[in-house]
Amino acid sequence: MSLLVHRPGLQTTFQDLGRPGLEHLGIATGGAVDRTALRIANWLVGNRDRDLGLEITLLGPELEAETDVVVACTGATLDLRLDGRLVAMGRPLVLRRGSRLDLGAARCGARAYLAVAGGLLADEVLGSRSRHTLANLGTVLERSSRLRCRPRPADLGDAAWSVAGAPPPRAGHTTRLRFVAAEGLGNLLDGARYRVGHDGDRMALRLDLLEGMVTTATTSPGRTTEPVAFGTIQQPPDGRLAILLADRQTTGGYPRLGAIASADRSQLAQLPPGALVVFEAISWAEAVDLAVAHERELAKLELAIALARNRGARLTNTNDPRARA
Amino acid sequence: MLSPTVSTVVVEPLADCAWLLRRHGGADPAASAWARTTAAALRRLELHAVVDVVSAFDTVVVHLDPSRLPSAGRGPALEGLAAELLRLAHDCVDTTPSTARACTLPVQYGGTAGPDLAAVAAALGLSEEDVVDRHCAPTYRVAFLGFLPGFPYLEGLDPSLVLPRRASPRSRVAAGSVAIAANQAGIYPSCSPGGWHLLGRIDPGLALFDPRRDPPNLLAAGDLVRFEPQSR
Repeated sequence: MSLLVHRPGLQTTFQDLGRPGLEHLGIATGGAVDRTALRIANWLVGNRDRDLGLEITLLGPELEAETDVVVACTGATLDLRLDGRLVAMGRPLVLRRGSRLDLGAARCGARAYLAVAGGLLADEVLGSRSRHTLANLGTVLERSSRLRCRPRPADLGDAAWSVAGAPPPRAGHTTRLRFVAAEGLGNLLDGARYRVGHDGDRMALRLDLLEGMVTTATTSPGRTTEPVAFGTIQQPPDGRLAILLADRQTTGGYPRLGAIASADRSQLAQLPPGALVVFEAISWAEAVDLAVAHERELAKLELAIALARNRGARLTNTNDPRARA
Repeated sequence: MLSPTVSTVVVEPLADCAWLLRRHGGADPAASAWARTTAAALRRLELHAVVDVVSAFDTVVVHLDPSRLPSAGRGPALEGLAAELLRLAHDCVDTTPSTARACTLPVQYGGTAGPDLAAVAAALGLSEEDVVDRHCAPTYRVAFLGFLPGFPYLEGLDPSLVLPRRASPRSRVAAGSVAIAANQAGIYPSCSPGGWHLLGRIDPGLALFDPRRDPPNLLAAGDLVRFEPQSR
């Protein structure tokens, strides 16, 4: 089963949930920057959350189904069109053979995810099929290539329901990110407003100070290198801010102000260039509580999606005309 | 309580689900041996909530999976986990085997292979030959792997070669570049951005990192490394 790539999009890469457990070898986990969005897309098409999908950045690909296939698109709000017709995101979509899906430009947010029922197929390297830009592992989507996926019957009718979360951040609007301050530092970003630069990538978001005063942490020649994490906020000597993302380095020597709360990871992943950001410091304990609660909510969502898909499948199999929701 | 001769280890957040164990008392070979050994010991425990354990000079980071943390009774459970990690970290003694692997890497120093050699020499008031001699003299220990896949952080750099990182990093450092910054020495396994001073280059055929190889990294934490100048 396959889809033909007519247009690859601005930066479209294969992503799953990455390669956890190899940080001590210098290999960051990588994987989808907005993990939650990829997991939901996978659940919508009946995949495991870690199956391979596409990560779309700002402007997406145009694909043609070569066989009947079920897909779902989540994350950044795209101008999504099926054979020219605008369709909603966040639900399973049946593409009949010959249909064209245009993933268009992001109206809000930065990264969208496309899951294909059965999961995409690509070479596995070090336990994952993800594209890791710094380590140069995995692949980028190219024009005229083929997306292959495991065979799955396209037995679903178009869903009458969809999953929608909070609207993603947009350029010119302010997003509040919660973070845990580094030990011994207060909220050095209190009262400051930053703007997301155009030079961010899968390694890190780069931000410029727009308003407010920020205390600069000092750097000394003997500053010791320490491990870093997804969401680590660094203050390089040029006065900008860097927030580390999926393809980051595993250790760093720049002054570290803290790390974005895991519960705000999706918001972080969805910040487009030009978005404005303010930071709110929360306690370590509160951040852990939020992270655990977030996972609990996702577990409930996974179940709800599975039930809705089940109902949809059963409805389309009956002859009862009222069942065509 | 701990005796005054034992360094204190404390736990602090690197991120909400990445707990950092910090050994106070400065970054020296004893500290990095502690970090290496503690990280290996914690990885061997294969605790359910722990995804990975990473070490650096005097820090160990335990990465946790929030979906594996208890939702009920979490406060005491997390305090218990922190206490267990600290207890283990305090009890760790250096178990680096005396038969750790050793290798000698030929290096092409200066010229296009080492574009910063002249500037480093000038900044330190030394000749280029002096810098090369002092860089080659020690036997370095791989403290840990970090920054990039396969990048070794080496300890043992001659204190007379300590310089801050470059004011503006390069967007592209050649693979195999042998570099120094602050009191650290390293080798860039692949082409990447970098802010360290480039003294030379190792044989391009020698892959520090190969994802298809098992294990993927040529060097492991605890290994010993020497450099020798390669005649042109």
